[in-house]
Amino acid sequence: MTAWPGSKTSAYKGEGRHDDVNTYIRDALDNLYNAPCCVLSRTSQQSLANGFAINAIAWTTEVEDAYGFHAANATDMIVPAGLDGLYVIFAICEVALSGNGDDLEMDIFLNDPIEAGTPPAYGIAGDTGQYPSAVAVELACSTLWPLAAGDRLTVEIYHNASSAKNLLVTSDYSPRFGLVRVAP
Amino acid sequence: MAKLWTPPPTFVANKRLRVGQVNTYGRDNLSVLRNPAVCLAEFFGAGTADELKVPAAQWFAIPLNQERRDSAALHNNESNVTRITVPPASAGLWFWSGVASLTSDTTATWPDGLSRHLGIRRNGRNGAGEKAHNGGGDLVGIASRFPSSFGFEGMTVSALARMAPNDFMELVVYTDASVDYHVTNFSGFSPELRGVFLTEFREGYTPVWHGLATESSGGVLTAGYCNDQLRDNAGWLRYRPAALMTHTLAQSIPNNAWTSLSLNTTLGQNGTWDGTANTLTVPSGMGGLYLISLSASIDAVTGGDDRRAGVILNNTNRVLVENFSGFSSSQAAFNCGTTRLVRLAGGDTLKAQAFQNSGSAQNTRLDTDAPMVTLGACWMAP
Repeated sequence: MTAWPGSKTSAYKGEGRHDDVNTYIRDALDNLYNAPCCVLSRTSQQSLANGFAINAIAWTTEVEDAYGFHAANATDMIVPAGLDGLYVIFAICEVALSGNGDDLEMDIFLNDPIEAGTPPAYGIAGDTGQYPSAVAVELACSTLWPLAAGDRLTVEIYHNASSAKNLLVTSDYSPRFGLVRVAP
Repeated sequence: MAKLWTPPPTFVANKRLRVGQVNTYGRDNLSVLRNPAVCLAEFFGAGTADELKVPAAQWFAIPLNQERRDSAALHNNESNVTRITVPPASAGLWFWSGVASLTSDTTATWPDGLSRHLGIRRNGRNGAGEKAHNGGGDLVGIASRFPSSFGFEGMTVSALARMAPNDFMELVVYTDASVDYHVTNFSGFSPELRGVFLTEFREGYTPVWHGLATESSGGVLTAGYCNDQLRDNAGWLRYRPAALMTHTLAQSIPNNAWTSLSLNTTLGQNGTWDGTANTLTVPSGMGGLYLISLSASIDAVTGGDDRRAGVILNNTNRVLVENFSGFSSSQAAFNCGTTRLVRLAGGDTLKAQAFQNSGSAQNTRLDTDAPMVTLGACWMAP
């Protein structure tokens, strides 16, 4: 993707026209057409601790990441320099649950200092489920959010099933985490 | 005032492009494409008890008092208005999402009732506390929480929705418990409604992307260059490949079997999407990364513990699933309103599906308190 060149008013009988056309039409179209995007997944199940543990999903596979939002096996996406903007962001997962407890939550967090084990900083989207029966529960959420370079996004899961449960892996939808820019 | 999109003409060979046309079809139109109509409006602060009180058994429109972003006065924050209104120049396909937390004032016992819903409502009547069918609006997406719970925390609903000029959207909540509920600010989840224009629908128009051309030094802009770059490539970005289909007749869903839903109405499309056989088929040459959405609902019935809705790709891979599981003796209606990004190629097919295990066949829900079943797709990136 080419950087946005800005807009320019072409002057009557102005000089350097072909350069202007290349920059302000060609490069601008390139910038708009090739929207920065990223989609991540996992290849194996992940154990999710019970209670108020921070279960950030570790993403092992970059389904789409031409712009470098994700480092191998990291739990996060970090917005690269120059890619600030308004993004559509989504997450989907499937969790195998049974037995005790009554609460399951998946949230997308912005700039959550999970290494410090402190409470999440800013939730921007989430989904909740409940599971008295032995079922696999799918959670899905999407949102629209302004992101700046360096912003860090994570997907975290909470449950109170009294023992560790598994994040399931499907070839098509669990887990997935992605974003695409829709405006600067 | 922001520049408006000016439909480019078909440029004629051997006719010089005027500077004014370069400015209009290059500078101005590209600026319009880069700056779509967008609004993110929230209720900031604790609010008063009455401001955020949710009456029982009524859809409550959440007041919004602060704009995180507002491109063109789509929301007026001075009077806590609930609406985000679409400007006429930005009618078309929008992506909407809403997030909120809901809690009861009663903590000693679990409140009664079956339903806790968060919805996005288009063109409801002004003011809070009116059910959708009273307000004349329609719910384009709902997310549901397990019945008989206290409420929900940071729940999100999202949908692709077609918006006509001056249509407006609201974030609404519903509970049928007999005790008071309130919208709250939980863990940073301020109640917020977010919307952005994605594409204009132009019936019968087939977007074409020609690739990017470089103008040679000393050359004169040719009609071919102008048509490819200024008309067609910009046209692709203004009228992205996109389609919406809906299901307007109640349909029986057999017990314990994923069932494709009858999508019998096409709301709008760009390109030659094949909307037959309950299927959206991506047109040739229009592959890419798509935002897909599904809104669906199943009747409230007893029995079983699982209600799901999803989207299946090429009849083999279920790429989007949301469920409502774990209940046994009493059920609320199940609602799904969610979106995701998925890579699609020309010829790929999408179908909406539903699943339930109540023990007998049940219907999709199409009453005025349910979202119309809608399957949508919009091209976002190559």
